[in-house]
Amino acid sequence: MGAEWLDADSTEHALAFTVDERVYSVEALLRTAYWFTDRAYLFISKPTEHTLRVHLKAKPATLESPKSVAIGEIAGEFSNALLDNQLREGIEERTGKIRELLVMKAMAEAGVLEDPPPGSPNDPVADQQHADLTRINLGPQ
Amino acid sequence: MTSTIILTRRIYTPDAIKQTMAAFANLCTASFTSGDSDHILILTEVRAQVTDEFLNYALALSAQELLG
Repeated sequence: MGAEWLDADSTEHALAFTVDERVYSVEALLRTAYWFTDRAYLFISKPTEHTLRVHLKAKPATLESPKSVAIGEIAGEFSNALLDNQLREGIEERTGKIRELLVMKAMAEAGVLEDPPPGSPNDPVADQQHADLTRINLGPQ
Repeated sequence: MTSTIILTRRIYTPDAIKQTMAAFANLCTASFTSGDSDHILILTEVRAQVTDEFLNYALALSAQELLG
């Protein structure tokens, strides 16, 4: 069939492990998988409602990367990266709003937001004719 | 050689599969059908390594699409 490694739990160059969706989000898994596509062949299946199964296969050595890495090592790094991404997601969820507020406060204090918008807020035709009844003055220009 | 592979919709998007099929058109013949929860992908006249690369490519494109 050409993709036997997808059916195997563990071979010399491939292995598979299960990820619980109640612990790790699909986003964290996808982000992790994306970063590993240059080091290994990946396939993700969904055997049950709450689980995803990650199939990893080591890429053969090439001229660009002549040193082949053991699949166990890649799987270990993958697991760590998955945990890292999940943790980042949790931190972002809990502290994202506070971080936004801090950035906005810092920008407000630095006066970045006080720059007047470009152009004139007045009617351009009335501006040319100096005939408008009301004018908005933005201060010294 | 023919491979039949079930791709979960939770991970693989139809657009990513279509783009992968287009990218690999010179290397294999591929077709897929979508069900409620899975896509069934059939690769024909394909070498093992091409299957691996095909799946990697589809996964990377799906990740890009789903993660924005």
